[in-house]
Amino acid sequence: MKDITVIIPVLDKQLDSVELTNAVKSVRDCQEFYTDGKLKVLIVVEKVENGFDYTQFNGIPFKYIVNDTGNYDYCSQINFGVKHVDTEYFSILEYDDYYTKKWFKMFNDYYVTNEDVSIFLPINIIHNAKTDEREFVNDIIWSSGFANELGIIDFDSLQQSGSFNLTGGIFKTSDWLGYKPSIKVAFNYEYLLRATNKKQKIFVVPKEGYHHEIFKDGSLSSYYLDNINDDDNMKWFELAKREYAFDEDRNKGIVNIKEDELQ
Amino acid sequence: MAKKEEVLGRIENEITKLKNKEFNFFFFTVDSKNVPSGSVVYTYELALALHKLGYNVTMLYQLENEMNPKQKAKLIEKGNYNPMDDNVFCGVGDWMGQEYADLPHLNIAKKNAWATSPADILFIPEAFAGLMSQTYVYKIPCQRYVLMYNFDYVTDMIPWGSSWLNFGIRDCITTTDLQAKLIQDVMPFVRTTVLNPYIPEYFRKPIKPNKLVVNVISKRQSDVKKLMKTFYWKYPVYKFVAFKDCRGLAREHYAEMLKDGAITVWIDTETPFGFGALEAMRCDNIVIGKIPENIQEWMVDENDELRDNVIWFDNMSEAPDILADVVGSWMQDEIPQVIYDEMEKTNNMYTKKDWDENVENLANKMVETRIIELETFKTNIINNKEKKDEE
Repeated sequence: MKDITVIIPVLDKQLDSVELTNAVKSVRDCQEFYTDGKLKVLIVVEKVENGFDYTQFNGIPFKYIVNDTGNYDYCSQINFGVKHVDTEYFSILEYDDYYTKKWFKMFNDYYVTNEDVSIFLPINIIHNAKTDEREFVNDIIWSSGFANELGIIDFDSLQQSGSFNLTGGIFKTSDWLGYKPSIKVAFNYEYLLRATNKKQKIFVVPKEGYHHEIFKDGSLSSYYLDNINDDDNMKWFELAKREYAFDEDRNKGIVNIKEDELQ
Repeated sequence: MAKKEEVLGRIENEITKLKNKEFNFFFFTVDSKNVPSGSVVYTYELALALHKLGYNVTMLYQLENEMNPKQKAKLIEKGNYNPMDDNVFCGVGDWMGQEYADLPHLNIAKKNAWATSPADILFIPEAFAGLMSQTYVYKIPCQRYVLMYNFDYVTDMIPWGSSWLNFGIRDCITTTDLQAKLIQDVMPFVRTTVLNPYIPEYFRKPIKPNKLVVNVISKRQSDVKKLMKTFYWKYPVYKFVAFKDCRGLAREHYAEMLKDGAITVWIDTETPFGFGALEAMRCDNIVIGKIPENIQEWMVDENDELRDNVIWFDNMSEAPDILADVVGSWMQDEIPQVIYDEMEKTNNMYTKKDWDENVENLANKMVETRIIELETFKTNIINNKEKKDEE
């Protein structure tokens, strides 16, 4: 049996949202097709009002844990959640996203012959809330001639592209390296660089597994879109390339030097 | 008198050869020059199966001024090699395997190289009308069968106004009932025996799950290009989908390539059997196929309706749309179960086990028939002799 914990990082204001209910429902729908193990949900919150603590929700084991570290950014919430995972694998679900109903079943089809893989990523369907367009992400690794091996994200492929998405991915808990919150917009990229540097195998299952909305008002991606220009964006990715060699988050940031300061 | 006794003795000797498997199955074949072809596969598979049953098998080919690979290497070394004079028999070793290449081969262009006797059985490919004619004119004593893989080849080289009747050909081994019907429609005197080909066991479900790769099986590169380019133009969202062109590969390598993919687009409207689609199905590929001119038995159900073992289309312009639908469904694990069920049923057809049984039955039948013919011949001679003695 391969039980999997689904971690959902949630801020206070998102707790009563319809999106969160739908996200958890998508886990329930997945359970119907995933017959090789149990799915359970772990919601990481800032605090729990009224002391509610469900053990079952939508027919699946479910509990809240309160992040008592004082850091409620996305990366810190995930890092905190992973410490409470008691299953061999876990997955990351954002409160306003959802899995496709066969994702865990499809993961298992590939898992049985790829047990050496540390991270199984789905092909994600990205909905752009601003333009209403849809596109895939993580798909590029299946393009002919892109990767050394079709479907495998390795160090070489990360030199060519940084646009991989880890949400929906299924991680081997014992191989989790921890996100570095200080890397801002490039934290996923930095994580992948660090994982490949540690010889972890990362495989993109060639199946649609996860619906992810970006640039929605109030979301982290929207914040980055509004506050980080292309130039800074590139700098964060350059920083990731320098920092992946270090295990710990060294809290390095990017520095903007104005032209007149250089003179 | 003594001459007749001698003839009777020789006939008896031939019958003994047939009974003791001391005769030869001769197969006339072309040099494939390392280009895979269904008809060559059919010929060599039959030859190997007979060889394994303990029969003597010899592959015949005709190549004037043949040089062996060593002579060719020497010429190359000395700088005297001219590719236009490349008279080396390549055979099928590189793309079918050593087992097939190791079957005894004989170049009949060499003087007195080939001898045959009434017990022998010669298979002539359907296209070789010239050989049918020569073996008839020179009264080759062996029994002759046409090995017909594709009816379309029959008309290629046969002279105007001739039919197999002019060459004394009455027996034909062919791949399907449909092929048998096609030849009997135009040459009703031909006795046909159907020997379905088989799909080798190295075409099988892969151990690992399929990758998102689309295999394209088509004789023409233009079809491959048209499919890929129109697909990418119409569906840029699927720009990551990789294609593989399956032409001109060694057979086992080709099987590995099929196993690596998830979907196969099969475009071969002139196929006499449909090897490509069947092989892809065995490798657990969803097959999208252009409806061929001749519908084979494995393609239809009991009501003659196209089965769901393949996702069919009849116009190339539909192919990118259907492929996009199939890719989308496959990525969501939503390929209808009926397709897998029909594939499973089809995969249980044309097995190695059936093939081995059918080849053995065919060989027994051919030998029996030949023995009866020779016995009848012998009886006629004896009867004629007695009649003359009475007179």
